[in-house]
Amino acid sequence: MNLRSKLARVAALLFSLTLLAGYVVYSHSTPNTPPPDPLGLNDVESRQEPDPFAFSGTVKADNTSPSSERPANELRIISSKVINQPVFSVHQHPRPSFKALFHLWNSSNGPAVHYVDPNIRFHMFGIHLEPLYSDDPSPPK
Amino acid sequence: MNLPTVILSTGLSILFLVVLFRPLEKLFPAREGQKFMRPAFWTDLFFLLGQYLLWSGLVFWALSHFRGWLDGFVPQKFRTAVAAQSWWLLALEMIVLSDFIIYWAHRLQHAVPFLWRFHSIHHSAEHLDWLAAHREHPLDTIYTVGLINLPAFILGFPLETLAGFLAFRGLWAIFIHSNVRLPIGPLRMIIGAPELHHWHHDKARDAGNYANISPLMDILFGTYRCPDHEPEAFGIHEPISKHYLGQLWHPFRPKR
Repeated sequence: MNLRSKLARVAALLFSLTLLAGYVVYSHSTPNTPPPDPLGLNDVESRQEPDPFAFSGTVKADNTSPSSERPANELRIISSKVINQPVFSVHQHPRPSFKALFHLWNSSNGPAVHYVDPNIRFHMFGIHLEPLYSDDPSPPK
Repeated sequence: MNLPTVILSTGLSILFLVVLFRPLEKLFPAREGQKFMRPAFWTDLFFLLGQYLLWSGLVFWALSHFRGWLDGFVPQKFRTAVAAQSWWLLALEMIVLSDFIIYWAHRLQHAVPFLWRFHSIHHSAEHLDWLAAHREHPLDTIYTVGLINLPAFILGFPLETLAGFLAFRGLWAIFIHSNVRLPIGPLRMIIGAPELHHWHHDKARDAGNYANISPLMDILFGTYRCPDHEPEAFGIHEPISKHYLGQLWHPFRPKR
């Protein structure tokens, strides 16, 4: 083996080790995100258990509480032969809160019997829904 | 995550894996001359895409429920005490417990015909590289990942604290499948190496080297194999479809 191929090997090794170290540091300091859910499994669960939760999306190095005390979408899992979540997750920036109105139409009692006022907060990939039900037919101000 | 985000993050992940592993496979090849686009490349790429875009959600969902179901078995005080340990002790405990469970679970996959139906998909790869690591039936993944996480879920290990270690472990699991022969000396007795796992995929003989990250369990239970050369061939003897959907369906086919 000549000097050039030796140098190439050393360079490749250092390069890969650097990438590996960078990935480890990135993974440790970046909140994990739930994997894509094209099968809609999480929706099925949320209909059965409508208890809302907010995803804080932070990893605390000094966090010493057991995993079971945290929301389900903070679950990290040990990979075996595969990486079970994307190596890189593209994060959405936090957006300001806003309110959305859904005007429900009830044909038997006339229009606008119920107003649902969900307060939707976007923070990373978490959505917090707080439905407020009211018999007041006037729209919220 | 919306669709463009998922596609972008999957593309970045693939790019990262190529950039990380391809130079090593080129400069330290276990099998000289194996091309990037080797036979069954597309099948394995479909497995990778299936995992990233479809099955990881199923695995995550199954594990979330599994963890929730396990929560009731162990007192909360005990979990809190476990979580309060230093991270290196947690990592050590996790390696020992997870590897012990996955070692025997993996041996069962090779010994029990029902489990082998699913696990044989992973072993059907005839060309090992970073991409072939992803050839795995989704139900096989749930089995493996569920069991390897079992001690952490039961004991309440704070996996967020060990996030960097888990990331390393995930990449190492891909590395040991890569087409790399990079002897790491005595270190291979601690963290394993491609040269060991390639013998697990040997077509000519019954597999040894069942352990996940550390071969200590193989050494302990007498299944450690490390010849000084590469196996002649990888794969399995039984007939199996070459295509992604055929392989997904393979475990459910009636016995002949």
